[in-house]
Amino acid sequence: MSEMIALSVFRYDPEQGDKPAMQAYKVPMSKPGMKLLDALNYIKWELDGSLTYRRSCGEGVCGSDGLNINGVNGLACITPIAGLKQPIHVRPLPSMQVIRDLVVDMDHFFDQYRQIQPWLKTETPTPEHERLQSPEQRAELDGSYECILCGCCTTSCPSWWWNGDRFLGPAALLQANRWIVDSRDEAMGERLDQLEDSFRLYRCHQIMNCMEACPKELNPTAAIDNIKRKILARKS
Amino acid sequence: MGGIPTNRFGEVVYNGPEGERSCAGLYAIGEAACVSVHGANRLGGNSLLEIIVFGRACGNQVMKRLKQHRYHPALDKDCWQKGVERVESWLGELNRSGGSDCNIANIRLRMQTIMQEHFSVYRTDEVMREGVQRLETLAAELPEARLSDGNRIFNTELIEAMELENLMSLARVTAAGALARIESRGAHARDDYPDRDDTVWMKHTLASIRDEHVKLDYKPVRVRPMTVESFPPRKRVY
Amino acid sequence: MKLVKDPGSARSGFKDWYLQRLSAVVLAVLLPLPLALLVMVYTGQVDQFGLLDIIDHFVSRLLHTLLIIALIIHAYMGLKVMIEDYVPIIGWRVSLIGAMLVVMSGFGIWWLAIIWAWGG
Repeated sequence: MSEMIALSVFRYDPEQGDKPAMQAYKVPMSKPGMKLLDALNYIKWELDGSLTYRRSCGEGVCGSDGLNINGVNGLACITPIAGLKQPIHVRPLPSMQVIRDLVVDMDHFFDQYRQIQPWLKTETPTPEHERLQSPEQRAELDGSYECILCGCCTTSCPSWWWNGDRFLGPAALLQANRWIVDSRDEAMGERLDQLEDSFRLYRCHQIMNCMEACPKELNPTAAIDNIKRKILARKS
Repeated sequence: MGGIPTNRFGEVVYNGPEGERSCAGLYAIGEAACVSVHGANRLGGNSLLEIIVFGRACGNQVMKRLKQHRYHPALDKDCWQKGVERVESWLGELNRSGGSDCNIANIRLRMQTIMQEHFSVYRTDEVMREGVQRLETLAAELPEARLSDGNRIFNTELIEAMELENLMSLARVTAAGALARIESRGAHARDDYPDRDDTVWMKHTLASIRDEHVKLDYKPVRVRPMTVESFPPRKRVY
Repeated sequence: MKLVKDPGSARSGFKDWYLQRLSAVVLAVLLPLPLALLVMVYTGQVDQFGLLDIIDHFVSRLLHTLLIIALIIHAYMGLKVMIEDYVPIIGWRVSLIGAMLVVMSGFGIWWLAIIWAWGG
């Protein structure tokens, strides 16, 4: 008999409409280096087919399985079971509307991402070939482009919990900064205009939960700080 | 290594009575498509070519078509029924007992195991023949499979079940196509036929499932570039 | 996809943030001074008349005024954010911030009156 892992998983069935409850499961430790997603898959495939969660690539690239694991946001697919205190409490991302079990409504999150207009904006005519970047200009994007929009940072931010309807949140602002620092983008002024708002941007009070939560080890607080500096620079 | 056959505009093509015809308004690009530039083999990756050349060509073609055909043609009144029936057939009969033999995950695991054991990198006729048999037996079990989750809100087990149906069809045509191709080409490496045979096998396999049976057909590879001379295929060496 | 009616940016907020930072710098420089004065009184380096002399000095009054203004601005900005965080109803929010503004400015005027009334 192999070692058993104890889990306590958040369950909510919208068709029944009852109060959400934590359900206990026991899963065998099937391989060394087993990840939390493997345990959830075992529950779904062997024990209880009705357990609902998002998953896709299974290796921290797609950002589907952002969950609250023992109180800390992270991706189930890259969180090793070994380092977790048992029973492992698995809950949906905090402050989000739960659709079912561990699945939350990400509409508002992605709408905020759309609000920062995450595409290249240019004024100059399209050149015959590519818009080139030097290696140094490209390096400016390091720490921004890796974001997979899993929502771990934004849903860990107290400012976003209180004012999520207006504060854009760390993920969207990290992406906003990604376009502001991009040497090929020509709409920095317009972007800063769109961000200069006491709620949209200045709700960030450097709590730094986002940095702690990010599974890709990015630093949204630094990105937000950079946006504030850019606005400061054009005012003073 | 395969895909939906398209022309160079990304339009899906099919073989009609008057030869190759394109299917108006239906497009395939990228991983899903097979424009046939790389011949019958896609080893080495053609994603850049797909993005830069055919992705763009397809986009241009879509715009061109939308200018001429501003609105969608009228849909058949009952066109939704097939899709709804497929979902309802899964949700209709649930596995209340929780037996694991007929659940989705179990069948999927067995399918994966067969494909791994019988259609991995190095293949022989004997191994593949057995694999096709095992796979067909397993595919016949699929209609017996039952969901345990009858919820109509965010039912991921239902999605897994429908994905399994698609995967099973793909596994069957992949297996049948591989068994029929008596040569080695690209990732299809046969121990019993180690050499590439361009005289007979430089052609695409067109597979379909009709009346529960896999049917194979072939079509030639496009080897004539439009503006330059073609260079003859050679043996690939490393 | 949900239809979202986005009010867009208010094109303000920088000033609040800037004033809060600026007042924090002023406080960081000026707040230690009265504390130092207090320590000097307790250690006996300055007696009551010496203390009054220092406080009465024109430069002291100026610094004192600056300190009060910075303190009020900083407290106002900080408490405003907290009210905005925890009071979701706009009517209450505006009323509370308004009331806070009245109380704080009243307190500031009273204090400034005391400072400049000395010896005047």
